[in-house]
Amino acid sequence: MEINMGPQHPSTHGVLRFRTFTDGEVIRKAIPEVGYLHRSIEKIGEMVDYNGFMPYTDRVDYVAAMTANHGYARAVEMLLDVEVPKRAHYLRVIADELCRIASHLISVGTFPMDIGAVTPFVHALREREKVNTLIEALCGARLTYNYVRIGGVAFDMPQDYPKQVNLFLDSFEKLMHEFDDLISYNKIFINRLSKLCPISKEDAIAYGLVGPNLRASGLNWDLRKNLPYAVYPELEFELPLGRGEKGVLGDSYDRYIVRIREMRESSKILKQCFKQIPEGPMMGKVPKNIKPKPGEAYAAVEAARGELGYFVVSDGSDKAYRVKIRTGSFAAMSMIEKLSRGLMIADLVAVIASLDVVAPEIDR
Amino acid sequence: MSNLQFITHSIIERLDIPVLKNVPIEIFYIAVMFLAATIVVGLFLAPLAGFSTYVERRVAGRMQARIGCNRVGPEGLLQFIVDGIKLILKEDTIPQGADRPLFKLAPYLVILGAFLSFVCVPFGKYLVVANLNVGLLYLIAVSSLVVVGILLAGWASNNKWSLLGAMRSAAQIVSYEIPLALALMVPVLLSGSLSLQDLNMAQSGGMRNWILFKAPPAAFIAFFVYFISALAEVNRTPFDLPEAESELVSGYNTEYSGMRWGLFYLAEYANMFLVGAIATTAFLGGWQPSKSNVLFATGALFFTLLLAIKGLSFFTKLVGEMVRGKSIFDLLSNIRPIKFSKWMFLAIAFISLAGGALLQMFANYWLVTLLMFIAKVYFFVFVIIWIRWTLPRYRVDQMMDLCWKKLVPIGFGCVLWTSVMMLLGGGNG
Repeated sequence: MEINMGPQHPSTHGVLRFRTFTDGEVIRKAIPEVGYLHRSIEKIGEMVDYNGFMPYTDRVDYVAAMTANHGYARAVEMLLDVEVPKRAHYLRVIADELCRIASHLISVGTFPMDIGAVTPFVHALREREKVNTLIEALCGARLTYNYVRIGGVAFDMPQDYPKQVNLFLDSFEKLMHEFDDLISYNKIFINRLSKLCPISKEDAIAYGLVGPNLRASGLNWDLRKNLPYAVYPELEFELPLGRGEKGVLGDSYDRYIVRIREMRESSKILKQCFKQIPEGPMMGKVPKNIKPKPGEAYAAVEAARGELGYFVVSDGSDKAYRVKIRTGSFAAMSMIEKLSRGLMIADLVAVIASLDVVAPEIDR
Repeated sequence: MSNLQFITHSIIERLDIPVLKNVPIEIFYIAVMFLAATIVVGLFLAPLAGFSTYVERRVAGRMQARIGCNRVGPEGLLQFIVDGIKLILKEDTIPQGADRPLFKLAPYLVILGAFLSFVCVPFGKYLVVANLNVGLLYLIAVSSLVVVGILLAGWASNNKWSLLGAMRSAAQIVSYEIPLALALMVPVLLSGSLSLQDLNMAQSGGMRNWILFKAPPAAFIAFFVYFISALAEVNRTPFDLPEAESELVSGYNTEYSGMRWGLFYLAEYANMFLVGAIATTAFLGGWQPSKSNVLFATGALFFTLLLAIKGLSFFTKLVGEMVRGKSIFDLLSNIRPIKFSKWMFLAIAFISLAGGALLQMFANYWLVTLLMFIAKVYFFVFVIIWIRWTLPRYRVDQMMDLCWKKLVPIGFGCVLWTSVMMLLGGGNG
């Protein structure tokens, strides 16, 4: 039986479509069809000037837009060869990590919802609202931030910002314990996820998985550690890896629990940032009309869904010759056809959720 | 002459209109039957099921750190009536490729299965429609009608998701009927009768006579086996696979809209009430008075008082404003009932505790037994709702595993243990 799943389906997290070939409940094959959310963002990058493209990067990944901003800013800075002030770097890291928490909250929230428990989702979203309020205090927007600028950031943080964030983080850690009690160690939840679609280290590398999905397979790879940027070398944090504690290495439960642990690490990073952040300007010396020398640059940041890279080619004019965006969700989507063989329909939903694909990131 | 015929004849004699005497009497039988059914369904079952939806929404709201419906009427109490009106007024769409007669028939079968079961539920000593001597068998048989309706709905919708949901539902309900029936065998063995009223009688004289504590621990375990299987029977979480929103869009009722869709939900909530009613009757003493009823009475009184005070303050304000000449539609959504402080909550809790103790003095009065029965049943309804908003859902194969590899053997074990205990104890368990 051929079933069309999506593009409007409650659990496809946006407009995704799968053509599933099933034998009763068992899936023989599920082919992802991408392109329903294509907005030609890469082409727009060639049509507008460098600063003008920044708001569009928000839409690359609207669940964690800060990191998408950050990546593009880094690529253009490499072309321009400008120095970014230290304080701006710290502010970028603060914004990135807040976004990572917000994004992972959506991921671990929608995950139980796809498996049938609605309450954790609501609790996770309530926390995300608090993060959004914090980011709003930083840059004035709740979803598409447009905060990072080429050469720095748009605004300094409010005076009592460290206090606000620390207050949130203290309550957040308690709530994460509650969240664990509610769902993470729930027997049905573990039964559903353990041993579900394990991805071996070799497969993960072969398919180009990045971010938490890759680390859940047990590979210690994070751009913040391995190709450090901004001020990450000055910060202490650990990389939670999949250990296969409830099943086998790299199964869906590992992908879930890695995200839960990463949120705790992000909270650690934020606390350090506020201790170490120096005084200083927010913007480096950037020409008003940006015209980089001809050349090319690739810069990537560790976004919530893994490596988010921008490849920018300049031909010396005020518009980029080519902008190419590399996102984690696209790679994860390509793996679904392989993973879906022999799954139940209910499992397909869980696997999509465990890979944390976000529709705009796939199609751009 | 049956009750129905007797009532019909007496009505016609009382009315004494000459024209009516020429009409065949069978037409009056049917008319009276429909009238009685309308009264029972409209005034009793629909509000019971509707109130459960209200409870569900408020409890879900509490658990999810939000409020739930509190706009329509005092604390949102009238919400389910408004929802019902909305559903009736909505367009009733039938998909193009659907099998129209079957599509229309399906919700009626589902609601029939749910409402027919109420016939033999004993609400009190005399408050039972038909005290069948095969009551439990009848219940299990009639509640299987639901699966026919669901299967029809899934097939007739001409939608693959609906069909998948219907297939899941058929497999699930048919499988779980076995542990359910096995678990109910334990009370049947212990009381020696299939009649629900006899089950009640076997448990008279307080909590220690409850079947739950007999043949330890068989009946106790059987109770949980029953409860879990019943959850699967009424398609509630963690067994809500037939309507799994995140997988099957909405399962067998995807293509339904308006009141046809509403009927599915009415049946679901009526079934929830039924699960509680059977659990109460078979294991927890039914309507029989007992000392533990103080607890249930206190809980029930507490919430009733809360809602009553809110409702009273709401309606006095409403009437007051209406006298001053404001439109009722404007007022319904703008008037707020009074708010309670912490001390008032404590006071109400204390009053309800005292009231619960006071009710024990009239424990044998029929109204009190009825209230106690409904309080117990709503406790179960609450537990079912609580489970729904806490647990994730099983996968199809895991659900079948649980049924056939765990619940069925446990059920058989319970029946066996009960029989052994009865043999040893001389028939008393």
